[in-house]
Formats: sequence, structure tokens, C-alpha cells
Amino acid sequence: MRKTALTHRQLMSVEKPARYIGNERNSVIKDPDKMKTRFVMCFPDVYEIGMSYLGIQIIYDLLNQRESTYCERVYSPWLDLDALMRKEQIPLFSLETQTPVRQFDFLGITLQYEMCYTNILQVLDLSGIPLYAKDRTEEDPLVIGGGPCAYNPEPIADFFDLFNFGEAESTMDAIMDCYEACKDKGLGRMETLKALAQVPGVYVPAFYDVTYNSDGTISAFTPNCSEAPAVVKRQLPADLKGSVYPVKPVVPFIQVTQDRMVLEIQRGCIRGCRFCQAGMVYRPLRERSLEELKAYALELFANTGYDEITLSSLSSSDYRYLPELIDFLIEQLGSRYVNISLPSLRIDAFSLDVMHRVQDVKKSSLTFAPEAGSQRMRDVINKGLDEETILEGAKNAFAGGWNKVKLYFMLGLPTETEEDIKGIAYLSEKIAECYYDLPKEQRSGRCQVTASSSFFVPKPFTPFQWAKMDRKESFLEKAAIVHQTFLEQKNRKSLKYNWHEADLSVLEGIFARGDRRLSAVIERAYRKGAKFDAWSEYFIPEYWEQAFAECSVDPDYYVHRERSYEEILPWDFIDIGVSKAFLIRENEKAKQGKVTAHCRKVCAGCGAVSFKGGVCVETAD
Amino acid sequence: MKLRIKFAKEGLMQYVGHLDLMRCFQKAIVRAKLPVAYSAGFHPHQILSFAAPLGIGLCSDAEYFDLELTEPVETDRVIVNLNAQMPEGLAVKDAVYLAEGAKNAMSLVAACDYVITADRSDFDYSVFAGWTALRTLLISKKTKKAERTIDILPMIYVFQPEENRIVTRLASGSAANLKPAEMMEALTKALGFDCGGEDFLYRRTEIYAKKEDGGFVPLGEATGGA
Repeated sequence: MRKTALTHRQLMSVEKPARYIGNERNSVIKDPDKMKTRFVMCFPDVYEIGMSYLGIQIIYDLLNQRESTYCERVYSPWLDLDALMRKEQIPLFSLETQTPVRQFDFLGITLQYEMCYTNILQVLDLSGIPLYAKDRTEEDPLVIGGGPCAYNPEPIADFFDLFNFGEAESTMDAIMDCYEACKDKGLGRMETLKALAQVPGVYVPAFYDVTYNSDGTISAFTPNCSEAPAVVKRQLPADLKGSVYPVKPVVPFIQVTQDRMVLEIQRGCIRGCRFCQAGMVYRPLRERSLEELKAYALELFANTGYDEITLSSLSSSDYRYLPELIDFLIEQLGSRYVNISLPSLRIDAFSLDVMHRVQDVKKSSLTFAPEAGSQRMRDVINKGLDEETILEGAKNAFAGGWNKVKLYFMLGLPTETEEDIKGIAYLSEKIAECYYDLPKEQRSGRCQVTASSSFFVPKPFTPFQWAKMDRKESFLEKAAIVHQTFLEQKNRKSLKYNWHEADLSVLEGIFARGDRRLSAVIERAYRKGAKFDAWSEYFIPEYWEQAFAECSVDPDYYVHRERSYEEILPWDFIDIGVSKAFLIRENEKAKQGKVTAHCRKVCAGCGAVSFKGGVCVETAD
Repeated sequence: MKLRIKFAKEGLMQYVGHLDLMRCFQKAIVRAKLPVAYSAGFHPHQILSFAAPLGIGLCSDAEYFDLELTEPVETDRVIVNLNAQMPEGLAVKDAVYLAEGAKNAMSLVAACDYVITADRSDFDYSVFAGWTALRTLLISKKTKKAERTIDILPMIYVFQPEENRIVTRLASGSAANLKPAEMMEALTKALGFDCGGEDFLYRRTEIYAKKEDGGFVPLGEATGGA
């Protein structure tokens, strides 16, 4: 039997020991002694969450295709094992070879949401790696971060040796080649980082100095060595056709959150919703070819044996070959007892027909994301969805046999008025009315319209990156107004309204647009015991309140003030391809309630054309 | 047509629980391209049933499940194809077609053999010789409604301390079911030892059906029709 880092007794004392043993189908076994570089890839949350994420499978596959490199995986130990490891001084280990993380050349950490920041410290701490990059030695791995939250890396910059801006397909090989060349030359840590800083898309925080004005804003952000570029440009494959795809993904033993085959149909989005960071930082939209996707689906099935497949992308309805792809999947995989799990699609005749073919209508619900209740507000955020379309979709869905509808909204959007938020209840009521307008024989009992609202968090690289975020009290007041309005509706018994906790949203807002002064706060909260903050049952707001106070950092500075266009933002040194001029234009149009058409209708000149790929160079065929 | 598959579970796989093990086999069966039969309905599933769940942390030489096929496949090919899909720690040992009308594996289970070893090497197994003097061995079992005390001694068919292990046969199945760790916990307490059920390692070595004459036959041989 392969050795385990934990003893039998230790494994038997924790919940779900299979989280920590590796040995899953398609996990890669190589001889570590024959490798030049050992990389351990981490998703800083529990195994079931981390294993649900396609990005790690892509990086795992990319790196393991290199003969000189061996990529393994590690996830956050759950709280029971965390306590045991501290008590018995067991160092954190990789799954594949059960090797202590500290012995690797690289520890890669994917940054999918801000609330995982204390878990990064947990992983470093349990590995015995100094939390701050400045305290690390030749004995420690290089800690590299990437993913959407890397587009403002500053709150966690002190904990990382380097960041990678962009998509793994176009950066990982360059980074590994550079590292291996440094290793061949016998270069030390600092010299290696200087070489890596010159690889396109790499940011080494230690090579930049930040100074501040008396009001707390940044006065300068400048490289302190000649190897570090003043601006770091996001790297991406201009075309996804022909790029590698992880057709042999690792198949977990235990049930994970997304326990199915994942087919990424496209990357990027044409829509330009003004609150959406993903819609900006993955531009331009790049589609995968239908023929490649068909082949991937069959290979995924042969290599995994999963009984479910899902499509992944932003705004999946914009994929031009969706009908052909879904027909193929139903024909080829549906006939082999594979469920086709659909992403949220625009509700139209096509999607209703597809849903009828692959779902049990009686049990399923339909999802709409109007994001805002009033048309004015939807225009401000450039949602590109009008009430008529929503009601038409609902009518068709109800006529088609559905009677459960889920609606997603945001509260706290820029320029929002009381009428706008009451619109959430009004729109929900109108949808319920569509159901009761149907002749009685077409209905089956009561309909259920469930509206949920989350609190708007302004994100970097969006037109709302300068916006003031609402206070917690204001969020909760607004939720109360919406709730009250729901209770006043005629069909209130068919309506349900849920809203999220506000504490987490405010903290997310602080980190999203924070700067380097926050690392001390994150460390302080972690030392008090904060971890798994993304899990509301383990999130303890008091740790954070105390940490901000003890570090003399005012959280309000980061969220509750409007920034000027002139202010140097902590993430300004990153060139994501979308220009600041475009973001300013969009923010101004938002204030006037003017919409911008999507990329396929007319080019809005965002700047992503510089990548020379995807929708920017697309020809209709 | 139904097949009874016998497999071994050990090493890393002992930490994979029963439901996860089932899902692991379901995927392996698909990858092995076996012509498995599916149930009807909106959510069809493979017609597959395991004999007796094995707890996390236990190894086994002899686990069984019944699998319905839509067309016959040579048993040797079933074994080879499935083994090509097995993770380290799982190995398919045998496959036998069931006679028409044969009972399913789960309903047949009557007893299991276990080999028990202490998790430290200097353990003296002769201390268990005193077990023969016991007239009852009481444990309390919690059900949803109440806690009740039951005598597990009648469920211990064989208990044989040897030089470096204990060999035992315990009642198993729906009528009476005794887990080996449960027994060791009760036994060590009754004999006044300074250890408990978690201080031993357990390996299931066979699962039996009851013959008409009261004797036991391994599930792999209990494949005849009614």
C-alpha cells in the first residue's frame, strides 16, 4: 500500500478520511526523484469545494504534461484535521505522494473568492511556511497565486512570492521553463524571482514600493528593481481552439459539490454587465469549436464513467452552436444514461424545449437573473433584459408545465432608489400573475416564486470600481423594505423573499478593493482563529472587528467612499486589456441610465481587441 | 442475467465508505463498457446491489455485489475489464452467474469471518482465553426511540485467539448483526483490559449464507436457484 502522511488512527479520527488519501481515478503518479520541478496546486477550501473547480484540473493537466514537472494537489484540511495537525504537529501534505508541502518548489494557490484569504494563511501555517514572503528562505517553496481575485492581489500581496495574471494555458509553461533554467544555473530565491518577474503576466510584489498620501490614498506605486515592469499585462490564449483540455479529470471518491463532467464551452462574455468582474477580466469572448467539444465530451465519459455532464461558461446562451451541442450530448450521452445538466440559459422557446427533453419538469425550477427590480436600474447595470422579455419567458415556462421560478437580484446598486428596490417585489408579483392568468386546467396548484437578493460589492476592473458600497445597516434596511413590499402583494402566498447576511458582503467589499495595509489585518484575524470565513456557520465577525481595531485600519475607508477617477487604485498597475477610459465611459453611461450593446452587435471599444482573438475578430458563419 | 462479483478492499481504499465505494464501482462498470442493466424511470440507475456494507477503516478479502447484465459476457472478461478500471486497493477476484431465481446477495448474508489484530506488535492474544467463562456479553444499542441492552454472546459463532491474531465468525445480516469493533469494545471491557475497539485492526475474510442444514457457505458459492 502507498504510504499515507496520517496514521490509521489519525485517519480514523477525522470525518471523511478519503479527503486526504489521494488515489482517485486519473490522479497522476510520477517518480518525484526524476522531476526537475515539484508543484503543489492548492484550492484553499475543503476538498469537496476545491475538487469541483475546473481550473485546477486544467493546471494539473497542463503541468503534468511536462516531462520535467510533477503537479500534485492539496486542499484546506477540514477543522477536525486542522486541530489534530496542530496538536500532533503534522505538516500539511500533498495528496498524490503525501509529501510535506514545504518540500515542493512551488505552492500554487487559486484565488476564487475573497473570503478564502484566511485559509491561505491556514495552508501556509500548517505547511510550516512563513506567512510573509519576506521571511521565507531557500528551504521554502515559491508561493504563486492566480485566479479572479488576483486582479487585485494587494490585500494578500505580502503573503505571495509571485502572482500570475491571466489564463494558465498561456503562462504556466513560460513560468516553469524560466524556473527550471534558474534551477539549472543554481540561482538563489531572489535571483530566480528577478528572472520570473520578466516573464509576461508575472507580478512579484516585493519588487514594488507603495507610498501613500496623508488621506490614505496611494501616491505612487513603483518598481524598485529594473527587472520588474511598471505595468503587468494579463496573458491569455487568443484562441481556445486546439488548446489542451483536461479530458482525464481526477474523479473523487467522495461526493463533491460539482460531481460531474464539466465541458467549458467558451471563456469570456459579450454582455458587459457593469457590476460583473468576470465579464470584464475574461474578455474577449472566445468560443471552443463544436467539433472539439463533441470529442471532449466522449473522451470525458470514457475516462471517468460519470453519469452527469454540465456545460460551463458565462452567459451560455451566447454560445453559437449550443443547439447542435446539446442535441449531440442528448443523442450520444443521454442514450448512455448520462444526465445533461443545463447551465442557466436565457428563457426562450429553445431553452424550454431543451429543458423538457432533459429534466423532470415537475421537480425542476426555472431561474431568471434580472439582477434589479426596475427597468431603470437594469439599464444602469446594463443587464440588457427588459420586463417584457422576462414576463414572456415566465408565461411560456408556466404554459410548459413549470410552476417554480427562482429570481436573483442585487441590493445596493449605484444610483438605487426606494422605487427601484420595491421593483423586486413588483416584478415577482407580475411573474406570479402570469401563472394565475393561465386557464385553471393548465395550472397545477399554486406557483412558487422565490426571489433572493445579495448585496452589491463593487469589484476592480468594472465600471463600478469607483463606487461607494452601502453600509451593513443600509443593506438590512433595504432588505426590510423589499420584504415589506412583498407582504403587500396580492399573490404574497406564492412569493418568497430571501436575503443574504450583510457582514460577509462588507468584508468581501473591503478585500475586493483593498491595498497592502490589509495583510496585517488578515494575519491578525487568522491568529484569533478566523478560517473558513466563506462558510457562514464558521464566520465570526468579532474576530474581524477586533483585528481592524488592533491594526488601526479603518474598514470604512475601503468601502464607504466614492473614489475619484484621478485616484491611483491599488490594481492600476495591471493591464487586463480593458482600458480605464472604457470603464469611465461605462460608469458615466450608467449614471445616465444608458445601455451599451453587446460585443456581437457593436464594438464598444473596450480595448480587448489588442488580444486579437475571439469575438473581436469573429466572422459570422 | 445476474452476476455475483467478489472483490477485495484494502490499503487506501479502506478509508472510502460504502456509498462512495458503490459510486466508484458504478463509474468503473461504465468505463469497463459492461452491458449493465438500468432501472426504468426518470432517473435510471444501474441494477447493482451490495451484500453487506463494510465500515470505514476495515479491509476485506471477500466483498460481494450482484450486477444485472443485459447480455452475457464471459466471466473472465468481466474480471479482466473491471480490474483494468480498479484503483489501487480494490481488486475483483471472481465473477459467477447466478442461477434463475437465486436470492440476492444482501438477503443471503448470515455471518462474516473476521481476522482481528492489535495495532501494536507486542500484544499478548492469550489474555482473551478467559472469554469462555463469560455467560453473557451485554452492550447497549441506541435506536431512534430508545436505548436497549442486548446480549451479543449468541451472535459470536467463533472466537479463537491465536498466537498473533484473533479469528472470529459473527452474526451478520438483517436478523442479527454484530460488528467486530463493537464486540471487541464489549469484550475488552468485560475482561477488564486497558484498551478498546479502536485499538484493533479488522479484516473481513468471508461473507456467508446459511445452508438448509444450518451450516455456512460463502456467498460466492450460494448462487443456486430456489
